[in-house]
Amino acid sequence: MDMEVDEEVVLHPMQTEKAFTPTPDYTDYKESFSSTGTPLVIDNGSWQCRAGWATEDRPRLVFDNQMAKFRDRKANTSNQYIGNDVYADVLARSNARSAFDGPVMCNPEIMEAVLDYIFIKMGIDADRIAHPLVMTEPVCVPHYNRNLMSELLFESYQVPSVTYGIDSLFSLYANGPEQSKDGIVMSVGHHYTHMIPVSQGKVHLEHAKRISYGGEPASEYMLKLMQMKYPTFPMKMTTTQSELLQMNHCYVAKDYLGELASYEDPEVFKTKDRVVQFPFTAPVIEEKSEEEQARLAAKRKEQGRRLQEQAAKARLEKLIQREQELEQYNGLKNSKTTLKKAEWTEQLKSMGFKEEADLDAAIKTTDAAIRRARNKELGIEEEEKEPPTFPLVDIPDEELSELDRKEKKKQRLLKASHDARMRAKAAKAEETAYQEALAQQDAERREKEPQKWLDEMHARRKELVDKIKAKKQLREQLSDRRSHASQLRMKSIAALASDAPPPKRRRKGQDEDTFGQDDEDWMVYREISRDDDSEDEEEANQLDEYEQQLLKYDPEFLHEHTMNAYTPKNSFLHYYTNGLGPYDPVVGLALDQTYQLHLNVERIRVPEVLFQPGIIGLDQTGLVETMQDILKRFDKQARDRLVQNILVTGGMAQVPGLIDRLDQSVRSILPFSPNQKNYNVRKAQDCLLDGWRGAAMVARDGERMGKISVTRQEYEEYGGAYIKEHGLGNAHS
Amino acid sequence: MASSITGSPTNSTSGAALAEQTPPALPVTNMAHIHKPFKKPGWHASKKTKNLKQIITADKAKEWKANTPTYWNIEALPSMTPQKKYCDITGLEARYTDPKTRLRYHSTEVYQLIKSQPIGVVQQYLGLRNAAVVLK
Repeated sequence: MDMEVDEEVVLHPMQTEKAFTPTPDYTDYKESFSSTGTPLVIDNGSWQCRAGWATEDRPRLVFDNQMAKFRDRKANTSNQYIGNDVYADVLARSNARSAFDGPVMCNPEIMEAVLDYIFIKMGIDADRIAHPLVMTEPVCVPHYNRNLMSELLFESYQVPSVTYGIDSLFSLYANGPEQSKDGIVMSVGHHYTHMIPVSQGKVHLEHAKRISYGGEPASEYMLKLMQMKYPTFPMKMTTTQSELLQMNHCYVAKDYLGELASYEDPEVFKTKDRVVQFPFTAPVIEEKSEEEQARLAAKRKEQGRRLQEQAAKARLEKLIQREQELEQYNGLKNSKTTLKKAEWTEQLKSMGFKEEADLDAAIKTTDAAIRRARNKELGIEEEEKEPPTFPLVDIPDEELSELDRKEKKKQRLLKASHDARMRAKAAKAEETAYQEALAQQDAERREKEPQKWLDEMHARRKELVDKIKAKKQLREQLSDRRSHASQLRMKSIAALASDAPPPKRRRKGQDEDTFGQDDEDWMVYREISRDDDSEDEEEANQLDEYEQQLLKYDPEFLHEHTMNAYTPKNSFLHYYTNGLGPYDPVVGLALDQTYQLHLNVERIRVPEVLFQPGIIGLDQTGLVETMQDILKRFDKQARDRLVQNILVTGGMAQVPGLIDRLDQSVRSILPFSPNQKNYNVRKAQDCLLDGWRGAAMVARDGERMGKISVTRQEYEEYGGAYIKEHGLGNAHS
Repeated sequence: MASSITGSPTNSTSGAALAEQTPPALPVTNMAHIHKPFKKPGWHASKKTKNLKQIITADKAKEWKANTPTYWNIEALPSMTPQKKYCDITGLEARYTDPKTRLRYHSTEVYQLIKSQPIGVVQQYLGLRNAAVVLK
């Protein structure tokens, strides 16, 4: 077939689950931190939680912010796992829950378990957490939720003070404290993307914007796209897997429309298609040694021989039995002349016959059976059975007795069916001969005038294809009530159903109903019938035959030219879903290919939502338009300062190409400047950890902490939602 | 300290059967059986939770000064620029819309596919861009 071996396809293996990496236990609390009052810094994100001492340059703990609490009924144990420990256990994985609803902590019970875990892992064994806490919170978090957190921290752990800040602002601070007075920070986070302008050291949260797209919606979108693309995929894809796909394969196109168009070109497609292979187990085909195969063959042969022997033996026994029977019957028959009539009849009855005719019949059938069996034994083909005779049919009824008349009736029926059978047989033979002759003719013509033959075949095929297509179209039109075809049909039905005779067609003196005299009349029922598929199969067979012939004799007619072809060569949809790898149009996909995902257009489609939220039907401005909106709120001087420092941070900021695209797009919304680049878009040094780092930097500044942290006393006085504004956090409102 | 808190979930109770399932070498921490000295005894976080939507609804009902940034009013506004249309099946640029299903499509080949799809699949495709008909 047209199998083609391309260059080796790179397969990206699909992990089934997130790998478990153990979290270390720290034991240095007593000697290094117990009485120092070193601040603890927790970046409490809805995806990952990062926690550590402010004096260190990295968080000690980084784990997925989740908890699994369940009872193991088999072992009768209660279990509670936090963070990455959840991935170590199947049962835990299925019980994982997050304290977050969107980006906001809503479940204090789970949060408490996570905090317990942090403090245990840090090795804190004092009777309280005697360390100031610096913690991140979402942009514009509702008071209710901040109150939940403060209550937890002050009441359960009795912390001395808490400072809340926004992770993206901390990240801005970490990427140059002196620069952080002016700028726009764009945080492409787990649930949402936030854009916050900072002007002259003041955070303008009233101009901040949130776009409802981030890593988590992106993974979800990826999952949905894959489910739609592979509705019959043999495995179930998990959200973890779609997250991995989204993180490992997506990129932002510099020119989205251009990039999309490039995917249509198979050559470009080949370089961009990513093949993700799911694990699968091929059915085990046992390889047998030659010796064993020979042994098995011999065994089979032996078995066959034994069976044949048995059958022959049985046949022989039967034959002998029949011969004995025949001898008996013949003996009886012959003894008719020697015995008295009553005695003979007595014997006849004892052998199970009613009258002499029965005996004759039995002799005849037994004789025939014996002859057949003998012939079979000797391998002689049965000669043509002589045609049955119907002697009574032609004799007039008057000459027959009552009994014979009955017999004649039976014979007449038998004769009729026999004649019909013979006629059908003859017709069939004639038909096959005719077909053979036609094929012969066809072959001769093909050899004589190959080109003409091909042209004719193509013409015939085309005619048939057109016919099938026209039919299909008509059917489609009929499914729409308002189409022309449907209305014509309704008209026909109305005309048929109306009692009033159609006036034009009948002239005077001709008011007799002649419907049906002409065969064409019946076609009106064809016209109004909606589901006329009587000929469909026939046509499909005919088309298949033509195409098989063409495939055989026309070297230019390939599989992809057949009417229902679906191969990488003629179908974009085919290589969009199955890639450009080897494909056998007859057999279909190979087993390993059925376990493959092809990521191509999705690679740019998923992150593009950041720029065009309309793709997922999200009625919000994209990154660039949002920035334009924000910039409009500032005067020219402030604008010029802001665009000097556009910082992109957050997990999804790591998507390749994002910064380039932003850089290019921001240019398009700024006034033209011919000489120098009057703006700067940059990525955070560490998109994931900079939030924690910035918070640690603030925490190390003792003087500043004294001014901005909320003490226990203030908590008791003003309540859990109280904060002090400090330029890196939410507004006090 | 470390030895008291690390260990497989199995060593807390006798669970020989479980020990076979989870290799004891994995240093996971089962928080259910760990003493937490730093906590105030007797205090527990409330088990009653409200989801974000409830909280926001309650918050919206309060009185707010003008220009106060809140969780719900910092949401990005609807876009004012014309939206590009993309093929619902392939993601390529969509030149056409099927009047019957309202699906956008890129080429005749995709159109053939659309025509053969059952209504449920069509709605799922529409759902990808939040345009499915939801009957209530």
